[in-house]
Amino acid sequence: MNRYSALPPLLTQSWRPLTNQMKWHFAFVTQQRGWLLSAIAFHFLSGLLSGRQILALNSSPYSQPPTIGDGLFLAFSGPSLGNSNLVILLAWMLNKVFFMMLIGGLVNRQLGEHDYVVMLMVRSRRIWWLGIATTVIITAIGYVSVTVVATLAGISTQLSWYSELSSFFVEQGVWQAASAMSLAQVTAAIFSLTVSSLAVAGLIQTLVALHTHRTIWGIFTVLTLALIAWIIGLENNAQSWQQWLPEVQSILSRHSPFEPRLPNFTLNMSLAYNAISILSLALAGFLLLRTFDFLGAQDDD
Amino acid sequence: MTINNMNDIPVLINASITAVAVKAVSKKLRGHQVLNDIELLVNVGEITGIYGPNGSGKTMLLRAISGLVLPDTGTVSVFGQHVGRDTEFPQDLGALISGPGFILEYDGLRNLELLASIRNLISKVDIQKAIELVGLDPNDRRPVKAYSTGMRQRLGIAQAIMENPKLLLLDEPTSALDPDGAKHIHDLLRGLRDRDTTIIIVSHNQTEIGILCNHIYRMQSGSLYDDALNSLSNIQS
Repeated sequence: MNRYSALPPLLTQSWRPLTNQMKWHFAFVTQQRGWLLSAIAFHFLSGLLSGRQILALNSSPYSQPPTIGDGLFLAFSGPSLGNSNLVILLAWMLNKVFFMMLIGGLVNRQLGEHDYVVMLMVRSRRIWWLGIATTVIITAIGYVSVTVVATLAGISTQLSWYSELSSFFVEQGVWQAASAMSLAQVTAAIFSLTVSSLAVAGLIQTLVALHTHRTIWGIFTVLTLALIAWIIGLENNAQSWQQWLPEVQSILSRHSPFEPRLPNFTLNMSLAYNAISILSLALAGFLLLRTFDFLGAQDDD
Repeated sequence: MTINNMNDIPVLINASITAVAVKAVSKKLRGHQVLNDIELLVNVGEITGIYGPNGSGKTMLLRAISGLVLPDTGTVSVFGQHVGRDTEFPQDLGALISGPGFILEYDGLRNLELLASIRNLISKVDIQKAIELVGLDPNDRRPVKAYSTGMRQRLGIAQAIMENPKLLLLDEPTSALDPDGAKHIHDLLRGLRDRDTTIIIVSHNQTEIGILCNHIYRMQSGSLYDDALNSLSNIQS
């Protein structure tokens, strides 16, 4: 008996269908580039407004002038505990919406009209799902890269480039630890947290859309989770259980050391949480697709 | 050779000539019986037609044969392989189900090249030949979104036949074509049949089924009936 026969098929089959089908998936994502362009414009504007907001607050002539890193931190900080500012909420939510619209065509059009085309070429439900999940994750990396650059470009119209953060946040009495971070550290924290959080959101959206055969339900589910994450922090709720709720991980400003009332809610904890979530959702996809019926467009006979 | 189990007999007899064997397949979706105890045998190198009104389950049957939909009960075998047990999807299958879907911004050739690259079995020349066979110009650089519905349907057929499959499943393959276009596709399908390609066509167009198919079935409310031959004899004559 072949000693490798007990290995899961995923380990023994050719990877060519996986890599080649992803070209098709990325072509789908590219078709939604209007949403990416909207996200770029939005993040540029968000960066510009963040820079202006910091300059307006930093009226003291004796304080160290704020830098581009301060603006980046503010633009991606998300709704902090007790913050009911709807503009901040909207900016945080829109980032998710743009991303989900970007990858929305990946599943709804696959379900609606293209399912059999790629599936019958790939000839494996597991490989097909792996291709979809990998495409979502790679798209999240690309999306965050582009939007961070757009945000930096927007901020740079207002604030100066400098590799260190200023003492701005310390003087404002918020986020004491931010002043000790470099621009590179802030960028790395934002990048890793946003990519992993969007990957989780994208996989949740995809799975719900697959299960319900409706993309809108996937988007609705993610936005509901995000709204719950926002609402539980509205009343300055500093109870530690909230760090275990999905979507709370995507809020940079609630993490320690930026939020001293949640000392155990660290960036590393959120990255680990998101990594486990991604693996769990990928596994859930494999299980769902084992018995999944590809029904195509609604007007199927 | 001694046959101990009488159930083996049909398999032994039909293994070389039966392309598709659907046995007692039933499927219920959202409380609605979409396939009801379907029995269907399709021989190699024949064109089998299934006609019926919209919503009768024709497309669902094609999806079950192709492995996209898993039956609640019963079995589907394609070229002797049990779909869902021996293989997830039939190994040598081309399909056009529920209308073709393409990357609208790419031209036809680029779409098919992208799809063909998944398995990498055929060359660019093969793809170009398939596009020509359906009456399209492989050098047409217009994006698919500029194609008419009929041209998209032809491209869908080209996608289905480009890897020269042994089994071809076609859902309303000429519904968007004019009479000349439909005749072109009919001639193409007869040519493929003569090269031992097995073809299953579903359509609500009884005339098309009548003039093209060796065997004809009628589908109604999820059930398949083989009483269609008499009713279509007039059309064929």
